[in-house]
Amino acid sequence: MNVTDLITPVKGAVARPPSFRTRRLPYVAALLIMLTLVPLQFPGAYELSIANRTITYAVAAIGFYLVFGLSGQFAFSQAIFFGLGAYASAWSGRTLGGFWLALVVGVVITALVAVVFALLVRKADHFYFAIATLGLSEIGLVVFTEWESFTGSAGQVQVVDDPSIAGFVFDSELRMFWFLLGALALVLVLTAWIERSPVRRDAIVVRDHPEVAASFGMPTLKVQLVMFVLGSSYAGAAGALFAHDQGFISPSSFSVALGINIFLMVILGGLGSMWGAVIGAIFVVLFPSGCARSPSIGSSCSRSC
Amino acid sequence: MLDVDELTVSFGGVRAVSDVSFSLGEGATVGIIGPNGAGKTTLVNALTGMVEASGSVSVDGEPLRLGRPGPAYHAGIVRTYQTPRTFAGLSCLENVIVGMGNRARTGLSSAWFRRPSMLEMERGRWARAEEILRGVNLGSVAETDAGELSYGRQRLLELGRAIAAEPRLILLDEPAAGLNGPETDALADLILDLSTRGVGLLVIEHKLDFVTRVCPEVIVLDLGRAIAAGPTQEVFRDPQVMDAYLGTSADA
Repeated sequence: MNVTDLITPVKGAVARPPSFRTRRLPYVAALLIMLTLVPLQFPGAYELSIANRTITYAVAAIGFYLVFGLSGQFAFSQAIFFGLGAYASAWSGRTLGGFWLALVVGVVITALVAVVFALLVRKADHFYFAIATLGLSEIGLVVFTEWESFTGSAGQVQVVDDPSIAGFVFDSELRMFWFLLGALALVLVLTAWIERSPVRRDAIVVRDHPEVAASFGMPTLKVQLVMFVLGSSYAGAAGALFAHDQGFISPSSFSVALGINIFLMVILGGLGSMWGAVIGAIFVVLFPSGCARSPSIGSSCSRSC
Repeated sequence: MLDVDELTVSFGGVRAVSDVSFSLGEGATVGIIGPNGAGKTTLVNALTGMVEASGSVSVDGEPLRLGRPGPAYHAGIVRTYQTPRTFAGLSCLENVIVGMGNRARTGLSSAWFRRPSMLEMERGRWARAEEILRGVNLGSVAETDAGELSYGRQRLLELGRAIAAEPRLILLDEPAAGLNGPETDALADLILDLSTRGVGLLVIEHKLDFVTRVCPEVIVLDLGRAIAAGPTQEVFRDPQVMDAYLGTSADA
């Protein structure tokens, strides 16, 4: 029996899903070109430090778009994986040395913890999963504070290694900006490739009707696990970048408040594509900073922002 | 091809399907009728492994593991839903691709590191999905999101998704509901065509004229039990069936 015999093929234009029709890489290029104007417009170290922080948060938010936007997983864990990436890379930098190894260690340790966590709570859905990720966040903060051989005294760590490529050291805010822009470019391209692949379709299918997906033989647990671990690994990479950009980390940077902020970035920017995460990250970081510096509202707002 | 023996589904103390037995030959189309709450949809859920069930089901003599969706799919059993469960934000093409069994090059590593061969596989899937969509009269909306289709057309889309799985048996849960006259005719033709190609069909339907048209045989369920089975015209003349389906005729 062959069901394809049913249909007589018709010559003509081939249909393709809209998600494959859309070109994304030209937009990635356009965004990056626009961002190269930032140092020209805002050469000051303070402004650049805000830009750098925005980029690291944007990477974490893009990861969260994969977890929540595409895969529909209600996770508050992005902040703690961001922190784990930061601490793991700082630990690697202290004990093993070197930025690149630290980045890899940060991502790999984050991914491993995400796999174990996701397998442990695989039966938990929706709000139960959300509660489990909140629990993980609180436990993680305690670990960051108390496990001093890993995280330093009360979680206060200096991170000294600067990234370098072929002997060129990214040791100023401006140089770090160019380095982070390159990292953002890589992350955007990798994510654009996911959006233009069957991975996106599978994630949405399992998100919207897991029972239908299962009845067509789809490995639903694997699909969800891959998306969760992938998005969490983005957070780990972002955390490692954050640690090396800031040069100093402490547990308060990775609280549940950051998890909620990352939620806010993705929701404000829009859940439909990775651009939402980028726009949301820019808004959530710049709006309070802009408020604080505005002459008219800065004085009344600076304390609360 | 399909042998069902004393299939039972219990929810707490309620036996929603109770000791139902029947067989289905290669390419046979059997209607399942019965009043609301008779257990028709539960029977479909049981056969596709979506609920726990006892009894035995075998496909070509191979026993099917019940209570899990995977084995039913791999044995060639797929279904459609009474209330369409399509993927609203995905195009009709992608909805049909969901049914396809070949998952080669769909993973993350293919998306990143083997893009040319991933795209080649995808192009094959799009072409195939488009053919299937033409077959269910949805060729013109191949690139449209499923959420923009009427309920009736979403049912056809689900049928296309089921066909994409190259199944041995399709379980149709009220396929004609929400279709207008010409659409119903087209669906009937499609079902007859599938049947001549050896695909078995189990059709749950309330529209009795539709059942008469496409199903040579029917099974009547009432309160979870199969109360009658046989050639459609004979079964419809059975007074017990008319009682169950249309209400008692005691005073007639």
